[in-house]
Parts: sequence; C-alpha cells; structure tokens
Amino acid sequence: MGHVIERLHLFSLAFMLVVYCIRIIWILRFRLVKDLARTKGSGLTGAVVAMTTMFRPWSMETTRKGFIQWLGFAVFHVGVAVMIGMSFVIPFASKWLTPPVVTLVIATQALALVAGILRLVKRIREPKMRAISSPDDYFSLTIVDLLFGLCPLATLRVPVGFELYFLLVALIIAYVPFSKISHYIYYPFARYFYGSYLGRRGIVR
Amino acid sequence: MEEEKTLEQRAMEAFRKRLTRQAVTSLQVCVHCGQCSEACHYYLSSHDPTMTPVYKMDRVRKVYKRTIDWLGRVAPGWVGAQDLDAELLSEWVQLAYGSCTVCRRCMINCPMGVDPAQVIGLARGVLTEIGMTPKGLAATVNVHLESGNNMGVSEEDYVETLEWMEEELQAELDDPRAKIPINKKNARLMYTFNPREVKYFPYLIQAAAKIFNAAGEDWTLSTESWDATNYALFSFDPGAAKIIAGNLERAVNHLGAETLVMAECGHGFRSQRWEGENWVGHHYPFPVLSFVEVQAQYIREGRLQLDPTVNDKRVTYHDPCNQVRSGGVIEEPRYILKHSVMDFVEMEPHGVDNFCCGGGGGMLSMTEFAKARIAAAKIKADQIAATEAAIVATSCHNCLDQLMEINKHYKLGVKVQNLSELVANAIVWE
Repeated sequence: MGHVIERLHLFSLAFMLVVYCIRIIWILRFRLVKDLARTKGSGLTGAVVAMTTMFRPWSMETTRKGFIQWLGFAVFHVGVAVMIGMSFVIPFASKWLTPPVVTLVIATQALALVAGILRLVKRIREPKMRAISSPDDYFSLTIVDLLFGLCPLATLRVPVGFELYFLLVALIIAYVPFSKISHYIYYPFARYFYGSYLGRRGIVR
Repeated sequence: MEEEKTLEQRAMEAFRKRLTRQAVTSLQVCVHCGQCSEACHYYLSSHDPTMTPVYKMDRVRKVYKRTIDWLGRVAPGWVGAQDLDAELLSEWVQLAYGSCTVCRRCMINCPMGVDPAQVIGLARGVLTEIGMTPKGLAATVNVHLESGNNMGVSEEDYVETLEWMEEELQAELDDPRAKIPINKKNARLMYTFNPREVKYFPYLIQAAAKIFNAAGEDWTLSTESWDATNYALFSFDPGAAKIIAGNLERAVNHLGAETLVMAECGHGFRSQRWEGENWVGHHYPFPVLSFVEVQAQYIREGRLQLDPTVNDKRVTYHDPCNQVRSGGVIEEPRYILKHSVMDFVEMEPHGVDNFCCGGGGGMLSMTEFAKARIAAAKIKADQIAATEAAIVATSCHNCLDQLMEINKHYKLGVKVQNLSELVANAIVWE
C-alpha cells in the first residue's frame, strides 16, 4: 500500500507541475500592457511592498479593521502549508516525526480546521458570499477542510485515515491547477502588477 | 457576402481583444473572499449583495470563465461560467456604468492584488465598442471630439471669458501688469481648464491667474487645445482618449512650453499625466503636472506668501480618487492646506484610503444613475459631517459637483471649494 501511495503521490505532483508550467506559459501569452508614463516612484519598491502586504495586517484597511478575519486567513494558510508538507514528510522523511513535531502538526491542523469551517459557514450564511460562490468555491473549501481533519490521522498512521488522506491529497493536487485553489500561482503576478502600478505612480513608497 | 455579426459576437470579439495579461491575472486570481465589499461605498451604503465589487466583477468574469478558462469551458456550471448574451450585456451597463465609479478603493483592499476597476473597465470598453455606452457619457466624449472641449465652448467665448477675467483681475489687484497670457510662445508652463470653469465658474480662472501672477510665473493658455478633461477615460475608449490627449500634446509642442499643467481635475490629470502617453504610444517631450503639485511647489519655494488667518473656518479635504489612488498626489494638498488655512482637519479615512464621493467614473454625465449615486454617497456625507468642517476643499470638478449635491441632499451645511480658491484668497500681495 505504501508504494502505491508514494507512486500516486508522485504522479499527482508530476501532473500538477506540468499543468502549472503550461498555465504560466499560457498566461504569458496574453499581451502585457507596458506603462510609458514618467515614473514618480519605484515600481520595484511598490512590488516588494505589495508582496509583503499580507504579512502586515495594519497596512490595509480591511485587515486592520478585520484583524480576526486576517488571523483566520493566517491560520488557514499555515495549516495548508503543513498539510501539504506532511504529504512529503510522512512517506519520505518519517524520521522527522518526533513527538513535538507531531503535536505541532495536530495543533496547526486543528486550528486550521476551525478556521476552514468558519470560512465555509460564512460562505453559506452571508448573502453577499452566497451571491458570489460557485460549486468550485464550496468544493475546494470542503476538501481542504477534510484534509485538515485527515492529516493528523495520517501523521499518527491511523488506518483508513492514512489512506484517505493520501488519496485526497492526490486528488486535490491534480484538481488544484483547474480550480480556485490555483490562486497562489497567479498571486505573485497579481501582486507584482498591483505593486509596480502603485510604486511607479508614487502611491506606495 | 460576409454575414453581419450579432451584438453578442461583436461583444465577444471586443472582449477577447481587451484581455491583457494584467486583466487575465485579475480574473484568475480572485478567490471570492469578499473582503473588497467592505471597501465599496455602493455596498456599504446599501448592504445589497449585488453591490460588492467582487459580484460586479464576477458578472464579467463569468464570460471569461465560459470562453477562456479551462475548467469553465468544460464544466461551466461548476465555476459559475456563463455565455455572453443580450441580457448579460444589459446587466453590465447597470453594474459597470451605473454601480461602480472605478475608484479603485477595492483594489487597495484586495489581499490578492485584484484590480476590479480594470475588469469593470474591460466591460465598459466592450459596451462602448458595441454602442451601449450610456448616452450622456457618449455625448460628452463626442462633443469633445467634435469641438475640442467637452462643453462645446467656442473659441470666441473662451477668449472673451479670459479677457473678461483679466480685466477683473487687474481691477481687483489694481495692477494693469496682472495678465492672463494667451498663446504666448516658449512660456515655462502651459495651463489648462475644465470647460466648466469657463462656462460656470470663471472665478476659478481668476483664482489660478492670481496664483500664477503672485508666483511671478511665466505661463500661458492655448486656444488650440485647453480642455483638461478626457471622458474617454471613463468609457474606456482608447481611440477617442488618444485623440483628446494628442490634442493637448500638440498644443504644448506648438507653443513650445516646457511643462503642461493640468487644472484641478482628478480624471483630467490622471488621463494626461498617467494614461496619455500609453494612449498616444510615445513619451511626451515635456512633463505633466497637476496644478495641486505646482501650488505646493510655489509655497515650498517661497514664491507665494500666504496669510492663513483669512481662511479661519474649519476646512477638511476630500481626496479625488483619480488623483490619490491613480495619480500619486497625496501629500501636496495637505501641505497646501496647512499653509493656507487656520484649521485643517482630516476626514477619516483619508488619503489613499479615502472614500469616493460618488462622482467618479463619469457618473455625473450619466443622469439615469443619479439616484443610486446620491444614495451611495451616504458614506461620504457621514465622513464630512464627522469633521464638523465648514468648508470641504477638493481638487476635482466632478468631486466638486458631487459634493455640492451631497451637501444639498444630506443637508450638511458646508461650502465646497477648490484648493486654488483658498490659496488665492490667502495670498499676501506685496
């Protein structure tokens, strides 16, 4: 079973990598609008500032006012990083799984699960969120929440939980490039465009 | 014979043509987190779920998903994709023109870096290309293209107004040397006006002239092209925008002026300073400045002596969106007010975070959306009332008009003035 899981995992990763490369080439084929206006500030500075905005919740009004929401965002994304990271650690570097590490994994996943469920509840309950949500929005969030729940079981090698975790990870890795979860591929592009725009115009210094 | 294309086909062609890398990135990266809703004056004033920036943007994104996105083409229902049809086009008119001032407050509050204004602009551009731009806005652009200014002011009326203002200026200052120079060759600055100043607010021409004369500036006006506005920015019509921006460029070149100075007009400044070179496709041989920047420069260099005690009432400042979030003129108006009035108080939020007054995006030219525009301005009215200011200063004509309407509708009891009025009033003549 272990070999099957490893192979499935590696196949999904290879598939994801290929699709990501195609995605990046695909987006680069769209016409880039170059700005001819004389600059008032530095586009590079703006881009750097923009890339780090989410680490400075005080720098944006919506995160400043909605600090709890920002905290939920941080917990959720740390949880995703740990959850995906564990799909490598468990099969390929299990010696790292010392009791403190296991405790840390369980803690991050538990917190992320709470944050994920709250996100799902918000999307279902709030009319403004329902109005913009597609099945992909609900499905992506649900599957990630499920993985938060399964990751500790896989870490502790609990039967069924272990297999389910790796099957779902393989599924999500293959699904990601087509879904909203692929936002992190475009994130650097979007923040770069946004930041360089503000930087060149002297809006961010 | 080639078959005539349907409205939807023409719209789709225009849509595909306008998909740039920046626009596609915005369309791809949005995760529907809804955070932008708290930044939008339309949503905050109504709490209508269809007024959030992400909802409005999503109505455009549906078409992108259906025709460009991989998953949307295969399983449209799964990602909320939709074909572009006549009904959706009509909805775009309501959302892109009637419920969004493209103020970009949502953009600076998006954690992903989405620029909803760019996507709304994409829809506006498509609608313009297929002849569905609201009539008032289309007419404003057309009048500009036909007559050289957006109000159809004739050259005769323009020159007469300038001469009248020069006489007034000389009489007020009791100085025959005070001038409003027209078509002067090789001046340092060429100045522009919003046609509203010529037609309805000539005292603003006088205020500008006072400032230039007091600063001892070598300046001129042009009769060839003088309108600072460019409403093609709002209809996202690069062809018309190019012609309008090119007219001003040629006028500066013909007079040999060193610098072009844009009147206190938010979108006009942004159009000529930040978008113009992209429209005309080359660098201008001269820099473009806002009159706000020039006034701040005069004060900094000691070329204007000001007595703030003559402006003793409490003043607050409204940042025009096109000047602050798309133009980078943020500190200059504050510097000016700190030197020209006694009691300057910021509204909250202000600067880059300031709320749109509701007059942006060419909204004042589209009377069919007036009711929603005034309702969405409730946020701005509350902001102003909280300052307890007697005067609201701004540096944009669309803002000026909208603020005057808000003042009346919400019974704020304030006076709305341009920065140059306050500065001109505070000048100490030697």
